[in-house]
Amino acid sequence: MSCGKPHETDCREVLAEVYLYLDLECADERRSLIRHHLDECGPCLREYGLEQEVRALVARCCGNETAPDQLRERLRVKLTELVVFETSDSRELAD
Amino acid sequence: MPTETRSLERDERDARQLQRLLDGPDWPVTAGPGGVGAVSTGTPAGSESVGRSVRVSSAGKHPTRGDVRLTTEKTDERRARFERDAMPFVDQLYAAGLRMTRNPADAEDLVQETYLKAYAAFHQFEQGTNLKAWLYRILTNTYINSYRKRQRQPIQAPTEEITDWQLAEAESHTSSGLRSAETEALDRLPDSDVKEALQQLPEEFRLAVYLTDVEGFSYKEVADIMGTPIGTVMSRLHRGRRNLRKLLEQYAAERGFSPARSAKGSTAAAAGREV
Repeated sequence: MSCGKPHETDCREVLAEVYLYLDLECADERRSLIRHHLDECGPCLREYGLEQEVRALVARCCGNETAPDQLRERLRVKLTELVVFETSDSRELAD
Repeated sequence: MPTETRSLERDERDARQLQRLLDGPDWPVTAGPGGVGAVSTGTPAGSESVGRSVRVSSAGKHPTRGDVRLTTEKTDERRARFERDAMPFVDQLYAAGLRMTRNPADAEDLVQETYLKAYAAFHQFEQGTNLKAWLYRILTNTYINSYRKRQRQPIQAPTEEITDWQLAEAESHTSSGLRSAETEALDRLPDSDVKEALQQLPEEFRLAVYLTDVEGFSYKEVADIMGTPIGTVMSRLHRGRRNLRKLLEQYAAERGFSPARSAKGSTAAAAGREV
């Protein structure tokens, strides 16, 4: 379809599974078939490259945050409070 | 940023949340709209007046709740274990919270609620299993059950209705010639564009993409976290990425990074705008 050459595995099939391949969710046998196809099919490889790029962009840009110190501090305090309540087993805690 | 008043209000709300949380059923709670496990942060008018006194005696008070193991591990030991094992994920959960709620204050609240729930249920967590996935599951459920409800954004379109993307997708891989240059164009996009594009995705797609691409969870893990079959995860991931790519290509074109826009490019842009 894409490069005009006959392939053992059809381009459509490969592209349908490109995410499985990308996410390492392919069975080994499928995986080597797809890798083989990508090695010999330029258009599919470019397509794969783009998907890989999008995935990498998301990984690089979207997860890199630092929780505010005040949140950490608040969590620490809350957790300590919980402990106090539990160990004392008090029904009410007035402060 | 939060003012003094805000944090005071927050404290009181925390107290109420905590009360409900500990009166509520054990984790995991069956997820569902308005499910029993929902911690209704948006409705402060609880029947009990908790005020600032928080009643927390999970052992003894509710003997049927199965908190037997509380007695086998000292509370301070458990807390130490929790802090050691769970706290290192706070940045990651905060990042995920930001992508879910789309604003820092809500993300903080969401993460805090997640940690309190996780801690309250920590005795149920099976050591040796995937703590990160467990925390993400609590985060996701908390978000779905409470935060999403009070956000002003309209309900996202159901997954099944989006068919024009699939049409666009069918033709996309027949196009050639824009590829490696396209890849470079995408690579030049600023982080803010990528975040923005992700934010544009319908929530379920966004979550699937985030959990897979950022956190590297397997499909099975994402399915567990989101409470859906694996097939649904794959479908959401597929459509989410497809859509994300169109948006990113559109942004790159708008920034002039992609010199040659084909007719297919404009199709992609049109589809992207409907996100």
